[in-house]
Amino acid sequence: MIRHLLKLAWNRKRANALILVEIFFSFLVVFAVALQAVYLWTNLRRPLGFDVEDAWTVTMEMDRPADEDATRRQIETFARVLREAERLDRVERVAGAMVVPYSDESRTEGLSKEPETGTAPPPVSVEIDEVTDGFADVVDLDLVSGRWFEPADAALAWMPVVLDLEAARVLFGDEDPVGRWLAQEPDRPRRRVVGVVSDFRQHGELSGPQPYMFERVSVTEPSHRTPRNLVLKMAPGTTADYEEAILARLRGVAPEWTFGVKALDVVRGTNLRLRVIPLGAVALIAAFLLAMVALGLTGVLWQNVVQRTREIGLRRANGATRTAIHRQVVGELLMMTTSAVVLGTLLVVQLPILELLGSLSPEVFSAALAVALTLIYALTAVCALYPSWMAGRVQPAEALRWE
Amino acid sequence: MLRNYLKIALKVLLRRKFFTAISLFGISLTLVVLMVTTALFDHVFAPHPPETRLDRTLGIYTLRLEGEGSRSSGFPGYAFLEQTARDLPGAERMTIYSLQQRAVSYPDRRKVLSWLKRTDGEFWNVLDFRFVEGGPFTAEDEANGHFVAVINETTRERFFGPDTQAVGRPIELDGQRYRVVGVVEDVPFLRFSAFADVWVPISTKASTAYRHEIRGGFQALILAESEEAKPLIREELQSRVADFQFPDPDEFQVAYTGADTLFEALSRMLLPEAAHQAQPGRLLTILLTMAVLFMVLPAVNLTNLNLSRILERTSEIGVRKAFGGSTRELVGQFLVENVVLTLLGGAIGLALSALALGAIEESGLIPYAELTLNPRIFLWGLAMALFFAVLSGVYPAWRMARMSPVRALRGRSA
Amino acid sequence: MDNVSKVYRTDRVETLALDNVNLEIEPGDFVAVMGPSGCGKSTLLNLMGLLDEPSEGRVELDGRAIERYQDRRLARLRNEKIGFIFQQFHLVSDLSVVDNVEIPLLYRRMPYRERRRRALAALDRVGLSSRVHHFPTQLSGGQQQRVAIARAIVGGPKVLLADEPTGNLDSQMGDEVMELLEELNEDGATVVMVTHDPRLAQRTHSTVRLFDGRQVH
Repeated sequence: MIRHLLKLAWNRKRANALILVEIFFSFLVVFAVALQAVYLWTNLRRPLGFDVEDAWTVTMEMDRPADEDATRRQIETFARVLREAERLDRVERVAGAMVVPYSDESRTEGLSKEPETGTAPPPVSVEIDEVTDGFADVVDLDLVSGRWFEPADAALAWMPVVLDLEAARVLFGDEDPVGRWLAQEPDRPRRRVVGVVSDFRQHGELSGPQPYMFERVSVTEPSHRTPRNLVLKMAPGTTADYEEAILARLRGVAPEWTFGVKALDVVRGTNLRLRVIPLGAVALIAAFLLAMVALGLTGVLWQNVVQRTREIGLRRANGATRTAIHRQVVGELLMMTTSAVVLGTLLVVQLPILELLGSLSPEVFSAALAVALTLIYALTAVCALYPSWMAGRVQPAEALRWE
Repeated sequence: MLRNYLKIALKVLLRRKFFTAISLFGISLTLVVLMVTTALFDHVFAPHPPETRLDRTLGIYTLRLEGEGSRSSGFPGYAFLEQTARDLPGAERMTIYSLQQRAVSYPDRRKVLSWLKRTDGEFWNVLDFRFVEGGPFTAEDEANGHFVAVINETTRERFFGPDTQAVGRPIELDGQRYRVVGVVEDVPFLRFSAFADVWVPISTKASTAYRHEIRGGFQALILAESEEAKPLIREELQSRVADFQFPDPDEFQVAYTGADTLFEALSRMLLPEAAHQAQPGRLLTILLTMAVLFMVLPAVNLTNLNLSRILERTSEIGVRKAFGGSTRELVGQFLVENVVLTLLGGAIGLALSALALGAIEESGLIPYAELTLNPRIFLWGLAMALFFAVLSGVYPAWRMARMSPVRALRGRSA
Repeated sequence: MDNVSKVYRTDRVETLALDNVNLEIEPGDFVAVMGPSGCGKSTLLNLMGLLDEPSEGRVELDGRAIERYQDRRLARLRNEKIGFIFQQFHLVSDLSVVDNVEIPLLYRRMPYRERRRRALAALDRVGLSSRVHHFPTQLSGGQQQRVAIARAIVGGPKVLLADEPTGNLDSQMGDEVMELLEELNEDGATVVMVTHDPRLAQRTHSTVRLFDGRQVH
């Protein structure tokens, strides 16, 4: 039976060409959306690495220091701001950070480990945040090995850094990174790993994996830059109007700086919306397109049945049951879908072959492909329902009498 | 003749209600998406108040700096604009303004966020705001650092309540106190250059670092004396940018920007290959390609449906041909049916677009959006509908023309 | 057929296609059904072929009365016991000759090899072995009807129902087809043939005449 239907479908390929083209393009559209959706969903399931409950951020705008003296004054002001913030009664813990979680900014550097012998391996792009000692507590970092920064580090001749698991993996592979040195970069101090935390995804739940590193900011020595943000852990239940109190106090300490306060929950909201809204819009349009295609396919298949009424009558006269006719209609459509989908898959499979996938892993690709295949088959099966029912209702006596 | 065709067309479409319904659904849906997109485009790029003189306006919207091993893509700083954009030949007026930023206020223990824009005095002469109260601040205010502000109607309502006068009253933003000197009608968010809730002089900024920054959050608008003066302005700016003296030559050595239209600036921001020079043509090509790709699926769908409609009437066509109907007449009949169907779908699409745009306005996704359908958008919609009619009719019409009457009468369509 | 009547109802009109027809056909008979057009000949054939249900009366096939007109049972009966031959041939133009002939066997769960074997044998019986992979559009009318006959006999049915089988053929081709039907009848098949050609009716064993749905003599 399948052989027979295959032959039939193959012989009717010219008539079915347009349907094939429709299904082909629908498949591409569904795949594109599925790829994005699966990517975001796999990201969502990864651990975030931090917790922003009851965490607020204070942004600080200051002039660029013109010389070393200005730099020193700036870091001193920063130290004062940090202390004052800690004194506020609803503030439990305070830290400074160049970049806060969920923000869009980033600083990246190409890093590599310092090898025991020979030349350093090729550099890997790592995102870096410069933070003070309190940061781990404020955002609940998860220490995996080694230690976090401590005040005694101020006396070190080198800069301590903490890697996240992803950075440890790409820089050191299976080796234990704690205690190892990073390859020396020009104009940067010597850096040594003192600890590893769990995967840290600064850009939020929907972002992809990214190697991350924390550098220590000293509030006693002038480092090369003053952190632009404070991160505050507030007492639970603090309401928004407390922001005014914070601003008033900090402005008192540094009147020439500009301050702004925001709950990190709010920043998170903006971050998520920025990533989800475009996908949502595209998915909506794709859904409408597919609904339209589904209706169109149903109509065309129905027309198909009407045109082949005599053939249906003939088969019924020769012993086909209604069920057999149903199966034929659905089977023919599924065969068409398979041809279209095979072509589509061939096209789409070029993406990993030509290495155009970028940061998308093969698992994401295959999952998206599976989702797209399922949806298209389901879609076409549903489209075949009404026409196949109609075909079953064909009265052979009448069908065969038609001229 | 045409009336005849129309009557038959309507009969045919009513006969097969299911098909007609699907085709209408497909056309109207596609058109809704296309029209909404067109409306959004129109509202960003076409002249609307307060940007009424777009044909004479050029802007310096972006700045790219390159040096050995470092690159920066962003917005020009005040110092850069001061040095390159002042007194350009052919320019009637010039204004420098900052990008809008969030400013926080706590009136009556509520938290209010407003979009704050810092401008110079000429801003109000280059753009055409509608004042409901008072007037703008001047270049003198800017020069002397007066803490004055122009607010929009919504801000007036938020701070002072409905139906009140605001001029002369104080308003506090980001810890700074200003005196209201004017109130304007709300400006839609899509009018990027003009948009804000509150406008204040640049010199009121807490830190004066901006005066020396070549990179920062500023832009400039240049009002040309005439359309013909625009190329002059562009050229002069390019030569000034090429000769620009960097305060720190070790960091960056070359600057890239231009006196652009908004679309050209958008191409700089979106296309990596437009980093040095605006590529509006390329951006347009890409957008059109995307639009066409989007239309492929519904076009194929409609072609399919039209073809089915024709094949169903194979015997009818055979009879007509046998009785002397010329191919031209038959194709003409079919095209009329198609156009009627598409126009109907277009009308439905238009109505639905109006609803969709209304919904977007209501939802507040785009602040102060005033998305209405003007005649220009309507004509675009009509053009697209007709384009679909033609596109989805070509192949079926060709099939119909090729049908031999003898075989058609036997029931074979090819 | 026992007191069989058939009424067709539409929204506005009631048509009495057959009125009180009584017929008994023995195995091995070659019966012609004659009458002017519109007299119910095709309706009679449809009822015999279990393609339709009588409004009144009873149809018996092979000793068994058809009590309930259930799709499954009817389909199986048609498949196993009845072969149809139509005036318009009703071949599937998208399938080759041999694929057309194997159609009845598809609904019998027969493996591919067996189907092929039987189809080729049937085609050989009707003398078309040389045209096995051709398509219907490449054959003459007479050849197409012979393919249809091959399709009708491939399942080994006991009854062949032919509705004006020579209607679309010229006299020479018509004769060839008629000869084939006679041969098949001699081999044991019961043949019922609707025709309006008296010369053809003469070559059969007996004739049933219908007029306005009623039997006449």
